[in-house]
Amino acid sequence: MTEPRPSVPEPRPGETPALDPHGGTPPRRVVVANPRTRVARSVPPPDAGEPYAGEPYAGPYTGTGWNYATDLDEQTELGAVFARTLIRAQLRTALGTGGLVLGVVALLPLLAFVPGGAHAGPIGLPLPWLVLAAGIQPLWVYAARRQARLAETAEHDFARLVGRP
Amino acid sequence: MTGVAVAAALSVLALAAATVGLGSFGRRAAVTATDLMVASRGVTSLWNASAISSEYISAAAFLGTAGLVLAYGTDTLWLPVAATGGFVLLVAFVTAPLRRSGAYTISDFAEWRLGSVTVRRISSGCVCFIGWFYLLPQFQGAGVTLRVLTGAPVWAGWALVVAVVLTLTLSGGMRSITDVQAVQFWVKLVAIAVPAAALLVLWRLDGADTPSGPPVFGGATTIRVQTESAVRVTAPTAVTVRGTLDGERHDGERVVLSARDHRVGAGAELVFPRGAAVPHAARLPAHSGGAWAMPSERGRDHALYTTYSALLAVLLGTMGLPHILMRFYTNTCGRAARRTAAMVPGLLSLFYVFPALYGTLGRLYTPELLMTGDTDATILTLPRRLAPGLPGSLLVGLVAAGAFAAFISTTCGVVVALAGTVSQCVLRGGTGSFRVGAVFALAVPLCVAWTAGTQNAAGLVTLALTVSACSLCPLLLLGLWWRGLTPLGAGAGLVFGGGLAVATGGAGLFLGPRPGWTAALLAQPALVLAPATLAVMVGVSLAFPRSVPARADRALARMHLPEEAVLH
Repeated sequence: MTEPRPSVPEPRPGETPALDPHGGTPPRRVVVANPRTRVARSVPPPDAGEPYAGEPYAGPYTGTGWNYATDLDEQTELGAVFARTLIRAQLRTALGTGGLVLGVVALLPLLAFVPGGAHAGPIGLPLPWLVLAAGIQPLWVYAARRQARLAETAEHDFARLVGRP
Repeated sequence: MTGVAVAAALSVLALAAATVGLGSFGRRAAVTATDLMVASRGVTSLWNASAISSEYISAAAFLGTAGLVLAYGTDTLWLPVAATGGFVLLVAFVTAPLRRSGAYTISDFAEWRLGSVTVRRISSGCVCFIGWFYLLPQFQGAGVTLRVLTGAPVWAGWALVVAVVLTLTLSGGMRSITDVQAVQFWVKLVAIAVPAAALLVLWRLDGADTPSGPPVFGGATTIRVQTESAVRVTAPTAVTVRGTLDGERHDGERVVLSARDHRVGAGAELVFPRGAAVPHAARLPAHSGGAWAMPSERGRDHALYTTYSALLAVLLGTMGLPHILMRFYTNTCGRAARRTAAMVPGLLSLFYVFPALYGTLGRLYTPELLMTGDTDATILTLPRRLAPGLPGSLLVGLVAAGAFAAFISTTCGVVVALAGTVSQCVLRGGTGSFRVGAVFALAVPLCVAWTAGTQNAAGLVTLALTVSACSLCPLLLLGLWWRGLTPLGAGAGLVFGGGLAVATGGAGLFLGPRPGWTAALLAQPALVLAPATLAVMVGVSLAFPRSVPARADRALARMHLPEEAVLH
């Protein structure tokens, strides 16, 4: 047992694929497993000093010749599920940012009800002036940077999951 | 006056020469149509973000915002806040997926995503109308600037902008324009920041405070009225008049203006004493200091609705501006496009502090603009008023250079976007058709520019943003995020929202302002039209779900999956 056996044996390189009773190559079967399972399999056991009988650790396990990226490339149902999950996650992040922007803009006209706002503030300018000219803008800068960071993290995690970082 | 004219003319000419020079530097390599339209992809995020900010800072931002603040008070500062917020939405919803779709223009995107040439044509139509509405204030601003500085007729400003823009787009196309745009952002920032810092210091030294009552003349002031106009006097004022007033000719006599509306003839000169309250142009509101400093709804019909509607138009309209969206094609991948867009709010915030400052100081030092109605000229008049003589002339020259940078950069961006769309949609590509498209893009607004006379720059830009918010913005949002969008739904929504927005915009432009609810709806339709357009697109798509394109899932995956996870 030099490496974990795949649940469905695939033809090794050099072997001729087994023919099915109807004469064609059998449809490729797909491992259905939780992504965690795959991550767990891909990591060598912590106590194995020389894992897998002397062979160096050669990256994530790809014994079947299959990985998640294949599903994406071949537009399988599973690949579509992956894509949809990422899109939903990205949409949630985007809606969060959009909600923040719309909320702040909706609140702006309420500045009219700040008591005593018309009086001159620190540098001889009224307080609403300072809030509108310089107070909201840092919030936008922060929101834009945060949104970019969150979306990039999600994409990075996705790329790692499908093994194409 | 002549010193100012010379300084301004020199700086404008220097800017024009530098722009054309920079453009021809990039021209050598641009050979094919693709070269003309697509910038080289080696542009860094900050450089591209500068170029995008530069295109967004148009005549409206540079001149219009200060004018609005002068005339309408602090509540117009909402518009720059909404504009910057629009870029946050752009980061969140649009840039990365749109870049990954690989589409160059919005029309390309519509055809690729929905597989329908009809939808492509309709969105090309929307792009054209948005671009034309966007070009109007640029011409308007250039005309006013040159007229205020040198007394040249308004068409001289238009001619200058058209000449420079045509030279640039016809020779180098987008390749040269990315560099020109990015440089011009920093030119504009310096041009507005340096005089502002000087003015701030002078104002503090001067010791004048923001006035609490209505604006008054700081000294005896002579006003020369250039076009016949109606002015509203709030308190009886004794003035010396030379020219026509209320239909009577005067020749240097003292006249007491009673508190009502008066008509001042073209070419009349009025001398106001120190401390007299400033009359307002009849179409501008008269605010006391308190009402001016507080964002409020007083003094306008259905002001709360109008305010929210304008805010929504700017916020959503920014997402659908064709010339801004095209700019992200310059980035190499979706991630770089998103990073670029995330830098833009910072650059814009930096810029937008200054127009607000000019508007506020303008209320103290150049209140006569409220009477002549030339509020767009606040930035140009202010430095001369605070610092007479050579320093003032130099500052005005700097501001004028910045203003022309604003007209040229925005006009270039819009013209390239329009020419690209028109040449690919109607003329089917090629260098020659790109050039024909550029001429076509400039010709239409030039023909209409005469009618836009009394509108201010910021109002005209809001018109363009309204069309964008009611047509291309819903198309992008649904096309990028919802697989169920059908060509029928998208087409119906574009025709409904875009058509009504263009119709209301045209009505406002040609029929002039009216009172009442219908007028409020006509002037700012975005709050009603944008959600309605979204509803039409979703409703029609759901009613006829059969025509969901087969490619929808693949297209969505292509747009949202990171590039490295997809097999090329």
